[in-house]
Amino acid sequence: MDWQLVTQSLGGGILTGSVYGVAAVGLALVFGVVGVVNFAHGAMIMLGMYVVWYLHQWTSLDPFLLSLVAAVVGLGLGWFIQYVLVNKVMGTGQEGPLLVTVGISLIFVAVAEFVFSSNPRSVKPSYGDATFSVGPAQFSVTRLIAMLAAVAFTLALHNVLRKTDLGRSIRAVSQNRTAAQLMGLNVATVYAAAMALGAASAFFAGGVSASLLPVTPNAGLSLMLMSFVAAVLGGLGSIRGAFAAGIIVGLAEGAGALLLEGTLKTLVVFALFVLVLLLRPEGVFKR
Amino acid sequence: MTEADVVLRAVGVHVAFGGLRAVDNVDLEVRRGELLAIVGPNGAGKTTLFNVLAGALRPTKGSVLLDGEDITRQPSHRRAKAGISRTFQHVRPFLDETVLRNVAVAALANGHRRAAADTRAAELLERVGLGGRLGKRAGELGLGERKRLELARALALEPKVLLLDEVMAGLNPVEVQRIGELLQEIRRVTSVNIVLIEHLLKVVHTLADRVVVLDAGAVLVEGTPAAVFRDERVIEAYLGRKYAAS
Amino acid sequence: MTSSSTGKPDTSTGKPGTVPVQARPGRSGLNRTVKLVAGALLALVIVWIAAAGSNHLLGLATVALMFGAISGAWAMAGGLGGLFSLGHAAFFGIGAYTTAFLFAGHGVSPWLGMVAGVVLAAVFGACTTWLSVRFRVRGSYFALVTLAWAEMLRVIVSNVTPLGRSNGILVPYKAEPTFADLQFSDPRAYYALAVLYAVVVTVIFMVVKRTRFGWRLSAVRGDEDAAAASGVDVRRVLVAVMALSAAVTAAGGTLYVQYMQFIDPELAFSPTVSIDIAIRAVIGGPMVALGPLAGSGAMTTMTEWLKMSVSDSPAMNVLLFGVAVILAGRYFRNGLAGIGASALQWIGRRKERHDGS
Repeated sequence: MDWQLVTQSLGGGILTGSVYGVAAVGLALVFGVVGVVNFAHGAMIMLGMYVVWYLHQWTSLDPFLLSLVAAVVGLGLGWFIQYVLVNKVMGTGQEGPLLVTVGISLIFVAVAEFVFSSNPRSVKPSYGDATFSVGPAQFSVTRLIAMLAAVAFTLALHNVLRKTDLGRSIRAVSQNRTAAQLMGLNVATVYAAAMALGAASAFFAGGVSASLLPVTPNAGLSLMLMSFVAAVLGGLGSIRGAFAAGIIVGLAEGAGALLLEGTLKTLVVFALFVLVLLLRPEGVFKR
Repeated sequence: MTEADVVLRAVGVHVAFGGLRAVDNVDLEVRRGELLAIVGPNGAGKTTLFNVLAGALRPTKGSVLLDGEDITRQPSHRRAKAGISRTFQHVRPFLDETVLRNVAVAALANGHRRAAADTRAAELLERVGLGGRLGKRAGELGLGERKRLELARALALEPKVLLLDEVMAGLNPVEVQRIGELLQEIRRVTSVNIVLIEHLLKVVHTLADRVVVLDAGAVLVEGTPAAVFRDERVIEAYLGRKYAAS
Repeated sequence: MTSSSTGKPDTSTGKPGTVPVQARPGRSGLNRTVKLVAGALLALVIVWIAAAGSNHLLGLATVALMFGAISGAWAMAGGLGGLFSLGHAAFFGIGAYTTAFLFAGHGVSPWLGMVAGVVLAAVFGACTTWLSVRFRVRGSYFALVTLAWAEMLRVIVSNVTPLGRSNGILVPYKAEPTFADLQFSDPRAYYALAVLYAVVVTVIFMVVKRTRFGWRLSAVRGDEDAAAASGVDVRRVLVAVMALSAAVTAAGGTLYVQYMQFIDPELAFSPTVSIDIAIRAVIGGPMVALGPLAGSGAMTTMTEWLKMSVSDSPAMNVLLFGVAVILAGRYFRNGLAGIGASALQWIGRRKERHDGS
């Protein structure tokens, strides 16, 4: 086996996987706290890409810095969505939230197509051509910074959940909704906060990806599927688990690229996904 | 007591959830024609044992025999057809269906066609006092009516053994009385054997032929109601040590 | 979706034992009349389009009927069975690709191709659903798993050379098509075929709903444990309904590919297709035989109207679907059919009040 190819694929897997990881963290957070699988996550990632692309066109600031702005946009949008739409269909089975989040996703994609058209856009940071080497393999500096940004964001989110009052409320609700309610927490607000943070991580993941992938209205879909895989693999609801699983997914994809040609590499990830969903020992059909 | 007198038998049943032993080496027999009551404090493993008998839960160890045949590995729906039917501790009617359909769908298990199933269901619902509710949605029924609906649904399987999990819980005295009379009538008319999980000791006293007391997953005492409720170990399990000592 | 479980005894509806079995016969009579009227109206529109419609209208109606019927196939599993699939593109694509591959590559009649596709899709649907049911994957997770299966097929087909990789398969148009080729020179023939398909799907839906199988299915959708305790083999019922739904969907794939004469991995397997199929049923009402067709008709009509009067961007379509789905999820869980039923109840109540006074 070609050693250079192996390093290149697996190293690339780790770099990409960290972006999956930060996206998966948001999905896992929303699931763990609100109990909803957010089918609009991919569309949120895509909007994050466009926010960064647009602001980069306008200000020429560093795209990773702009990803923070995207995260703030996501924060507001997530809050709004949960408060105005998803909260209203909670407690009527899974179909309500499923329909509402699928609908939101369709609207976001349509809006992106209206506003930005479906022509692919790209973002190139000032250091876009720089590379670095690890052993025989070469990677772009952009991907490294993307990974560092993903790690930093995840750590920050982790600290928000650990150290702040808001974080404590969120965790209280995720552990025991009824008890949290009895303690006087406003569950609707906590749900909205969780969705806000979840959307922020989606927007941030999108913002980071804008420098790595072509920006199109449908770009969120494959990223969403990857983050679904990671969130499920990480145990749905665990922040650290989701991030670590994101890296595993990236590695699996890298390994797939070694074994299979072209787009077939994603098969490995889907196979992993189906296996994990089916074989999770405790089952995942109910919380 | 010959083997032919035993309808349903549990042999050395163990159920463990993780490290917790919910049911610990329980032997149980349901004899032909009797009404057996299972009592015990909360968490004694009564419902878990029921789930093992009904096939909703596979025991960690041990086996279940119906008329001498080992049915331990049979899933719920097969057991329902073979003659074990059950009601749920927290009633579970099909809320969006009519009262009639709730029962008729169970009557299908006997190979009835739709019309016959409807007729059979209507008869049973009449018997449990829901004859006037056939066209209502089950979700519109009150708790007492839902309990009787589940009873009719369980009877529609024409069972050999009827497992009733706290069929009186949450009901007012009038409704309790009504279900008690209903059970006695069912025993008069059919040859079904009834196993009852019940908290109301008065009900157990009047209805049961035999009582099994479960505590911490194991059989503590068994015997006639009168004998069992005089037993010190039972009083202790129910009321705590202080009362027993005094 | 209703669940009024206030454990209190119900006193509002009179003493037990006094209400006759056929509660309020007037309303069910009214219901039947309305169903008949709706069916007749639909038939009228269908005939009118065939007789008077332009080729453009005929084309729109053909696709609306095909997808409405496929959506009806979805509703057997997604509505009656409670298995919300977001992967029906898999079955649609299997039908379309099997037919196109056999016809374009080997000259096999599309009718035989349809049979092959139907069998393949049924087997695929049965196997994947068996796995999900076996491991208790339900609700949103079920939707996710089905999405993943369809994506896997998309990726695989995009990489298989005999299936044309990502270029897809062009179905050759015979100079003098025969019935055996499932190709016609008159667009009205395709339209008639779509009508026939829609009728067959509707009949299957009604049969499924009303037979003992449908009773069992309905029990399973309501409460799986209670259904099992009532002697229903939950796993068998769910696997069977998905196999049926998959088979009927695949037949639609055959018709579609013969009509469009082209298929590629995106058109066949992309999540957009799965979502489209599910949404037409959700909007029309997934529990009613004519619901998906009505939903499909409404969506196509709205899309066309928007195209002509507002904007011809394809995004308009997607936007509309999104809004409709949110409304369905938030307010009208039984879609247009549910709205119709509520309207009927309202009329019924008014009539009762009127008769009473």
